[in-house]
Parts: sequence; C-alpha cells; structure tokens
Amino acid sequence: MLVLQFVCSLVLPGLGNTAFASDDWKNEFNTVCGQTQNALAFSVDELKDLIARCDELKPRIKKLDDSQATERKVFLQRLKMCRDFYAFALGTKVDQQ
Amino acid sequence: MKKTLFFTGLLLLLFASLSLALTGVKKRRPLPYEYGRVELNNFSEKAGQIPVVFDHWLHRAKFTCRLCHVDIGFAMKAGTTGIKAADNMQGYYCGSCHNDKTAFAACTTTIPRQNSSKCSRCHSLGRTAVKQYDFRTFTQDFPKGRFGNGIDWEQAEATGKIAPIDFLAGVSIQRDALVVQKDFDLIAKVKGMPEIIFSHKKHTVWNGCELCHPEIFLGVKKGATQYSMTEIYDGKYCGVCHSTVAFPLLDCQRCHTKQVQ
Repeated sequence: MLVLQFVCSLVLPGLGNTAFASDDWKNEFNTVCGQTQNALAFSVDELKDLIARCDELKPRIKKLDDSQATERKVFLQRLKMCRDFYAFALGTKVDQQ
Repeated sequence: MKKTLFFTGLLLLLFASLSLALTGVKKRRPLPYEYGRVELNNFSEKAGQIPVVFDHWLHRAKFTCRLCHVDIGFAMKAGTTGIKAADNMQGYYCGSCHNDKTAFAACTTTIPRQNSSKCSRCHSLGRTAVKQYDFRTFTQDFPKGRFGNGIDWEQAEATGKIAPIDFLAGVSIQRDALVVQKDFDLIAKVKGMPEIIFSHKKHTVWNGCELCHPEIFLGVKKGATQYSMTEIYDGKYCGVCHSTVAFPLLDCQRCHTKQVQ
C-alpha cells in the first residue's frame, strides 16, 4: 500500500495524495466504529482512546469539500452515533467501578 | 314543553359539536399496510414532485433496522434526515440500494420527468401507485399478529418467512458477532400490572446497540431513566418504535409478560 502511494505521489502527485487521504479517514472510521458491538467488553482506557479517535476524525470529515456534501452528512451522523455509544459504554463502566 | 325539548336537544347537539371541534376526533387507526408508513417531503414538493411514501413493512421484511438507521444513516425521527434527490443519485440513503442493481434506481437523471410511472413508485402520496410488492400477497403466509401490520414479525423471522439482511457491501462495516446483554425486568408502576421482561436479545438482533443507546435510552444504570406510559404513548423511549413500526402499544401482553407474585 505504501509503495503504491509512493508511486502515485510521483506520477500523479495531487491526485495520489487526495485519493489516499480519502481512504485514510474511511479506513480509520471503519476501524474505530466497527467495534461498537464489543464496547461493553472494553476497558475504560480503551473506550477513552476510541472516543479520542472519534474526536480526531470529526474535523477530517468536516473538511470534505462541497462535492462530497452527502458523504460528509452521512459519515458525520454515523460518527456521532458511534462516538455517543462509546461515551455511553464508558459511563456504564465508570458507574460499575 | 315541546319547545323546551327542542332547544335542549339543540343545545346538546351544539355542545357535542363544540367538544369534537375543540378536542378533535379520535385518530383513525392505520390499516395493516399503512402501519409504519412514512411520508417524505423535505424537498419533493419544492422540486415539483409528489411527496414520497415509504412503506416500512416491505423494507423491514428485507433489512434489519440497524442497516438502515445506523449504516445508511436514516434518522429515527421522520423528516429529520433531509434526503435530497442528489443524495440518492450519489448512492447514499435510498440510493444505497435503489441504484438499478440491488433495486430500481431512485431519482436517477436518466428518467425523464415525464416518465412518471418510474418516479411514482416512490413519489406516490395521494395516488394509487403500481408497486412491485402487494402487502396482502407478500404477507399472506406470515404468522399473524393482533395489531399494527397484523404480522408477528418476530415469528416471521423465527420461522424463516423473512431473513432481514444486516450487511450491505460498500456501506456496512464488517463487525464481530454481537455479545448479547442480559434480559431484565421492569416493574410496572400500576399495581397488579404484570412486570415487563425486556429482552436485549430480541432487540439487538435487529437494532444493534447504538440505535437505542444513548439517543433513545440515555440511562446507564437500570432504573436511571424513569419513564411513564404517557411518555411512551407520546413517542418517547419504547414508543419511538412501538408506536410507529414495531408492534403497537395496544398489544400490552407482549411486554407485560411477567406475572406479579
């Protein structure tokens, strides 16, 4: 993947970086929000880390340009649900301690 | 005497008419195929189109609630998603499936506006649209329920009549199997009313976790969120689904199942 990114950045500098930057936030979204079903089994620190990663993702999605307005709207909503659920799970954990 | 009776009758009639006008008439109970129906008109009429009629019964037979309300991003409250034709054309919202591959295309630019038969499959409020699926034919073998759509959807899945899809390639995230939380009982406030057994299993199989928490049920600890039947009837808490799509609140015995000791 990195080699391909490097080749792309040489051949098509602007395009290559944009394409991979786009993949970057989606991959991160999939990784972070693909774990909600295990949330209640995570430790407090793991949940805090997931919430922090959600918070870091938000401005990256917000930055999508107007041609991706729908994508921005959909993923901000999905991110909110996922972040809120981790916060809910964290509250449950703290309450149990 | 006759005159007095006449005026008394007239007064009673006037009073009854006024009462009805002030308090409104009893809301008509939707027909089975209408139950769960949503009308979408954020932008339709502004764009010169008839509002969309969305049938929950057909979509819930094919997809889980989680797929549409978590992965695709439809809000839980009607009219708050703000779907535009352009969103569908880009493959989001209705366009996630209605893309001419999985299902007929929604809002494609290739359909001329004059070809209303294609548009009116969804944009059909107040019209008799020709639809691919007829409620009566589609559900004729399904286990029957007492209220709502007249279908016991839970049994329909248990008996293999429906198999709602929970994953849409390119949209859903591949997830591990869900660890189901324990069932619990909720004590009814009315004396003598059977307690409610809340089944996490039944709810998470279609909803996942983040559909209900924390948007609908905020309380972390059991009993932390206090709510009443009035609030539920008002469309809050259980009422978000159980007054719109899932079996309605009239079906008391499906929730109040535990006998009082």
